[in-house]
Amino acid sequence: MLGEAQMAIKPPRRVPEEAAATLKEITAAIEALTPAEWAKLRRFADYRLFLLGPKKEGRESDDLLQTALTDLLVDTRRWNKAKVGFAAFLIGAIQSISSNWARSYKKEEIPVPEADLLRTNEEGETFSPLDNIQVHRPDPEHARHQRQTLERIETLFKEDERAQMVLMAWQEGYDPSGVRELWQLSQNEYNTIVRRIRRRLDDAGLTAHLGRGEN
Amino acid sequence: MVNNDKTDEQRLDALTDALADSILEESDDENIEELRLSGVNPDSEAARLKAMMLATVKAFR
Repeated sequence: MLGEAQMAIKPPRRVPEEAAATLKEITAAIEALTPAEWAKLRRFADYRLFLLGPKKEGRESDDLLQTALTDLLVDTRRWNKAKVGFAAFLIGAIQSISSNWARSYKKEEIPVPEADLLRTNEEGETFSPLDNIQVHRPDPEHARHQRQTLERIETLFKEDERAQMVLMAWQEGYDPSGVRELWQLSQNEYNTIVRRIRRRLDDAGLTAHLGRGEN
Repeated sequence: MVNNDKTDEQRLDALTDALADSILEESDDENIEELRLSGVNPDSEAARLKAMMLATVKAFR
């Protein structure tokens, strides 16, 4: 399976070494992040963990941030600071790492660390050869968790028609502007519904958000 | 509009993507306020995360 994946990917467009940030620049970038950017990173990581379910295995948003940074330090990922800000780089890395964790391949199925396969293009985006692999047979525990999570969400919002509309569109892959157009929602109406969805999921303990329950 | 061809995994993945991406659409003030509402002091959390990341860099050196 791994061999097929490697054959299917395009040649990597890795950030050239001369464009990659140095240790000094990485340190300065960490120092320069604002409280609002830390808040965004923390909350984004929390919600990405939502995907993992039982595969979270005790991992928290701190682990996602640390892994993103470690990948950068060991040169598994490169940050082209001329093309993308540090917070945006970390967001991209967190997204990629959490997706890889969600696949949760067993060690015996992956003969090399997946981190070794990661590549970053000139835009600072990281690709994994495993990104395009469809997992046709998720393990029964994960499949059960997915079904139960969707059912819990449906139950949580059974009295909230507008939230149901947004959730349904999200599940179908609509982006925010697509959802607003589909249901004729203003930006403010959409934002209000989205905040309501997040808070209710948090309060129900479905998300990994600190202080609002465990997944 | 439900597409029955989608698996639970695909639907949940799409929902997670949208949920996490909704954070990126929020303003700085909204992110700070939402974190505060969840019981976390944004300034303390920023200091904690910064210290954690700098310690990782220091350990790497």
